[in-house]
Amino acid sequence: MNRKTAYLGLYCGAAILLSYVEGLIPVFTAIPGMKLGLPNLAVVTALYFYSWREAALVSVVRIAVVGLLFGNLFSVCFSLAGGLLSLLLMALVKWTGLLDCTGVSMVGALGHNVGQIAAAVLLVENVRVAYYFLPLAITGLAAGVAIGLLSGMMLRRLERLVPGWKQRDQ
Amino acid sequence: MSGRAERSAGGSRRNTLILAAALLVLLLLGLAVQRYLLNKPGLRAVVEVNGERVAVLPLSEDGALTLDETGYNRIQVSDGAVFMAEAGCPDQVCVKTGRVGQPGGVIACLPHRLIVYVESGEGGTG
Repeated sequence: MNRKTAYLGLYCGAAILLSYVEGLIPVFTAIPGMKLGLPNLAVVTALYFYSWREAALVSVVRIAVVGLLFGNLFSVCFSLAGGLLSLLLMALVKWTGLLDCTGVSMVGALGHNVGQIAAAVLLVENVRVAYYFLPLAITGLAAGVAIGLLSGMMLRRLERLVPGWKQRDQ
Repeated sequence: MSGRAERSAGGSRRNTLILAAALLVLLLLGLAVQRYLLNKPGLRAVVEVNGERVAVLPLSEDGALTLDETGYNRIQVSDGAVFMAEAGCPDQVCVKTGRVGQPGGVIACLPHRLIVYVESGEGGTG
């Protein structure tokens, strides 16, 4: 097993743990799907430390494992839809270089919400669920910014710990 | 925090700030519009399962409706608002939603594919 595999294992483990911890913290339960987005800390950090491929891996592994351990079919569908759209948008925005990592994380959070709501509308066969989108998006925006700021802080420290690492361009 | 630190994150911090502010304003505006646009007298709760309308409950009358097709749900109307009194779903999000009395308000029990939404209008069915 090479070093990168070990590190990716750590990223995935961190994401899974963050998902569990996130579930322990009570957040305004009136809106289904409202979350802090803690696992995205691992995903965004992986996105910048490696590339979108590694970030996708961390994201999918996290969703799969947490889905198997704690979730049901519905929650996995919502998570997956949200996670994939989120990653797609983050990779695109990062590639354009228009936003810094806080902004990329913010876009990711919104993408996550859009994906979740879209999946909910399709699964329940009723457009009315979209009513939840706006309050969800507002808290998602805040969470995305917070996670992005934390990611940035982590990346700056990683830069010191792993000398010679530089931003890799897509 | 600029210079070296910013390079490690890539992209422009200023752009992010502008976008964040713009999005916040947009979303808050949307929320305000969504909440206050429909405000005609006479409200009712529409119950839909699997996308099909199953019942309509006027919010002016207290009452209750029990469903058990896709799962156990007890919908109750009291004091001009509708809420999920009981449900057989594992997550209980629908019950935790609480009372809904404004047009556009929604209670969703996703595992049972059930939606209750409030709209302006009169009348009702069983």
